Amino acid sequence: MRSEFVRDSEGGITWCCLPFEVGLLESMVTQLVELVDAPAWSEDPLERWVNEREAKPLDREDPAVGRLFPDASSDADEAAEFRRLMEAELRLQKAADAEVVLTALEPARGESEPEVAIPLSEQHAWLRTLNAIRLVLAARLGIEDEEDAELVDGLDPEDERTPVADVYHWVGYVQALLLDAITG
Amino acid sequence: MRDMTEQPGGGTAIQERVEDQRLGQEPWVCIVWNDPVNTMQYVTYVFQTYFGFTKEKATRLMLEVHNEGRSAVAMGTKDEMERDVTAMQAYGLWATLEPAA
Repeated sequence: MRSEFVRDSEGGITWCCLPFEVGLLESMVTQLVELVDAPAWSEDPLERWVNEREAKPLDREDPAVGRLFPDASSDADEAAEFRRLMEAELRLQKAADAEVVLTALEPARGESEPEVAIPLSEQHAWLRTLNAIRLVLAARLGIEDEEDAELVDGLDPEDERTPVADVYHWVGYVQALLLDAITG
Repeated sequence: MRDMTEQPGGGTAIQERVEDQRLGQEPWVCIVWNDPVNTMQYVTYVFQTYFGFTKEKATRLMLEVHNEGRSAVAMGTKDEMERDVTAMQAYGLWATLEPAA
């Protein structure tokens, strides 16, 4: 038995996955939500503005945060300007994407043969969230260039990074399967 | 980028310039940088889906990112490029903006 994404004639996708995958992905997405720590969303623009102003600043010392929210310019003033204009929106977007995935996973929790529905309108949120998790794990594994990436692909099973590398490879595998189903 | 699928050999990257000097504003570009985590398949798909590029054009730009380290994937006003960079970063691509050379 293995993980499989099945696309129907309307473009909707069902992820027939293994029970452990539901819990593992939930846990990864929950950690992502904590890292992104987005300001609370509100329909009221004034309230939203207040929420954004009061949001805790991102911990840019954390390489994973740095990779999710890279400087948008090598010019420090331009980068700061971009953050002022766009950072709250990016945090909200990433949190909203993650929420889509968590909501889809919830009915599958505890099932022995879980099936996760991913309608067409939610597939990009899934891709973005899986990708964000890969970026975070890559940062945790210290992957900064292609050489590091190859090293992580061939880690000794006894290496202390192996458990994290296994999850990193698994998320990459799931993302590739989903992308195949979307584009196939 | 990680090559997790079979790809054709590196083609010649051709810079495509989009006309954009509306309202007399200086044009800016959205740059996407190479990184060791995002897969070639994913980057190509993002270019196709967000910019509406054909698979051929998206693949060419992806290969330019991969081989040259960076590629200017869009040109327009500064506001437009801020929007595009935000979208690229939402997809997890390493994107920046700068004035067009």
